[in-house]
Amino acid sequence: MNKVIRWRGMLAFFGFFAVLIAIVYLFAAPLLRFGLTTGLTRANGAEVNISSLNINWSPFAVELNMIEFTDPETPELNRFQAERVSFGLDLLPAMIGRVYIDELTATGIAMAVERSRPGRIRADYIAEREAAGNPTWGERFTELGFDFPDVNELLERSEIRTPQVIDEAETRSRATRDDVQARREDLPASSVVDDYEERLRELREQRPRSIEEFERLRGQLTELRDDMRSDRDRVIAFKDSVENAYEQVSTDVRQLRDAPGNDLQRIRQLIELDNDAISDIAGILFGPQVQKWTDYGLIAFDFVAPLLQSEAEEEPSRWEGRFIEFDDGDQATFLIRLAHTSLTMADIDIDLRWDNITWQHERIGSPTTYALSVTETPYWRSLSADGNFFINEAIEFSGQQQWALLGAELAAQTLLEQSNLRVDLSNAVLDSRGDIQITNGQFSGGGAVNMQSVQLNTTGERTWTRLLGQALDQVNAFDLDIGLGGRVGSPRLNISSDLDNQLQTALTGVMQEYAGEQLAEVRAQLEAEVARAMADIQPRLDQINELRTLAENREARIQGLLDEELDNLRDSALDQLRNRLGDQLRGRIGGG
Amino acid sequence: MLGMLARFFKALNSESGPWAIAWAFVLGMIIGLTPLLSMHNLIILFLAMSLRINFSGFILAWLFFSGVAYVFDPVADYIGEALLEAQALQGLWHSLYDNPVARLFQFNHTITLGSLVFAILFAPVWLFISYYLVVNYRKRVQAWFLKLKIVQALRSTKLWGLYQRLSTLRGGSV
Repeated sequence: MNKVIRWRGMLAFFGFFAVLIAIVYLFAAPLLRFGLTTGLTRANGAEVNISSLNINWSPFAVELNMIEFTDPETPELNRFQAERVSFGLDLLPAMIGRVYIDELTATGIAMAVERSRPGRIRADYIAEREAAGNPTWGERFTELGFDFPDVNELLERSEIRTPQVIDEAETRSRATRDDVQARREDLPASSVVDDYEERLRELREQRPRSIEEFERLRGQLTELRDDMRSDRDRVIAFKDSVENAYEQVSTDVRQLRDAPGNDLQRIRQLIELDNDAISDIAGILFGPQVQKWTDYGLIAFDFVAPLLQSEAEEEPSRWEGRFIEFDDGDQATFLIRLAHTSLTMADIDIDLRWDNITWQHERIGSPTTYALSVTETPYWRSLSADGNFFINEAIEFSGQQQWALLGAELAAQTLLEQSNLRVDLSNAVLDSRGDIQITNGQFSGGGAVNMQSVQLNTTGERTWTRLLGQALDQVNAFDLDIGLGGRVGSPRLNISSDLDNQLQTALTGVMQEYAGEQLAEVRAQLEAEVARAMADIQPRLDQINELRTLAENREARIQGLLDEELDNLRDSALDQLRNRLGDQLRGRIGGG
Repeated sequence: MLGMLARFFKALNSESGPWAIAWAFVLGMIIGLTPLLSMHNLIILFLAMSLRINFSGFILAWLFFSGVAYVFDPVADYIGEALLEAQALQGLWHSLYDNPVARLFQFNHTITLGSLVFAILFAPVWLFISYYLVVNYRKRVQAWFLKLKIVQALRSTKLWGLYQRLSTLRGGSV
């Protein structure tokens, strides 16, 4: 036996492995803690801390104390933390990558808890976020350029038109008056019409005794008619020009009177905020909060998504070889059959039960389900939520989640903090119901949030922040509609609300009131200018009106003479001539 | 390294059995050709340390075949892949896959399986080749070497005698 076996060598072999096992036994906990911290930090995108880890070897169980997941968006906060997580594990299957946990317990789970020091964020997470390029809600507020113009700016922007209207009206009325004056020289004088009447009276008194006299008389009559017609046409031309002048100056006077009102109306329109300018206010004020709630609600998916991606990464190489899987697909590689998690919210422990946590649901034939139910507490009347998700072998997510939260009293919190504006929510009661679906990894659906007894406080030194505060004071209740889109791991929120409309109305009212005081002086100044202009223009209009009346009278007199007297006179002269000729003819026949 | 090489040549030139050296070459070949961090290599190491084979020869063969393995890996990969994808063996592989112990041996890794199977099949051939080389070395090369005048001159010096005595004191035989 001694010729074959080298006893010292055999002892050295076993001694070496005994030391190795002892080292593993002694350092397993720190090694596992290091591995878990590294892996979870990679999945989380920011620092993960585990304060201590204990291992029980028989039966094999692990206990983790104080696990903290830094929020990558707000490194000062933990997006998730648990005071204690414990679970038993089948060790042999675990060594070949099959993790089976019969029961996992997590207590003291809390979200958005301040860290003792800010956590480190992974560089690749920052790079991904910058590549995505989605602006934060705060950046959207800056992009919106939300600001109130002051009254002087408004006066500049609104292009006051009253002085221009006054200038134009004065210029036009002056030109019109000159034009009318020029034509006034062409208007036949009253003596001319009197002369026509005299000439007509003379003609009327004449008795033609012969054809020759009649012809002469008719010639004089034709001459008189032509003169009268010519003068009538001049009167009509003058009357037309006066009519036009009157219309023009009347229009100018109307425009002049309306000009200050139109200018002020234009300024008020500038003050009214359009829908586009205010459409994101609800998102800006409540977006970060809703985003945070949504992130917490979907935190499980955030962790599962990177795990699925890492499963898909495998590149075979002839120099490195590859593992060929002989997986019959009937056993999951990771399964937590039952998990009890205790969520601490506002001193209330909420039990959340999970069944069948895995990402290989086709293998176990059932989805991961979770349910939460809490009865009345000092902070809300009722809260219930449940959901499930199923991931198939093609790594496609499907599932759904619904919730109902009634009568939740929101804690005082800052909604928006900018260099020159801070909006705080001091009180609000919230009801929320929602239903979201996941189909092929794509979120759809959403929820409704009804806010009541809302008290918002605005702090800021600029005038517009004071006005915004006044407008927000008028908002006591509103609804938020939250639409969820995007893919699992990168959800996208769409928030719409009647808060935008309410705020638009309130802001416009507040601005009108504020501007009204300052615009009164502007109105008085414009109206004084118009009154001064009107003092010049109105007499011109009256004068034109008088000329119009004069022209009408004169036209009527001439036209009357033309229409009636001349025809009658000619017919009368003709009749007289006929009678006289008849008498003479009868005298000659009778005498002979 | 040089000390190990010297010990190996000393063993080669000594009265150590040629089979002990040949077996050392075989075990060194297996551990050298296959991926180091594999469970079966624990067994190889255990045999190398527990059996009375030439340990220096084992280490040198291990180092030599580790170098060969860099070139040999693609071939091992082909062999392992062919075996693992052979229809006739699918039942065996599937049953082994659900066995945690078998999985610890990484039987489903192409290079590990391919190199191990090749090494085991090549072991008898390599054993006899090694034995033949050792025996013929002693018969021809050693005899020719000892006949060299310069070697005979060296062996007749006092320095050589002193070295021989020191080696005996250190338990020089391997």
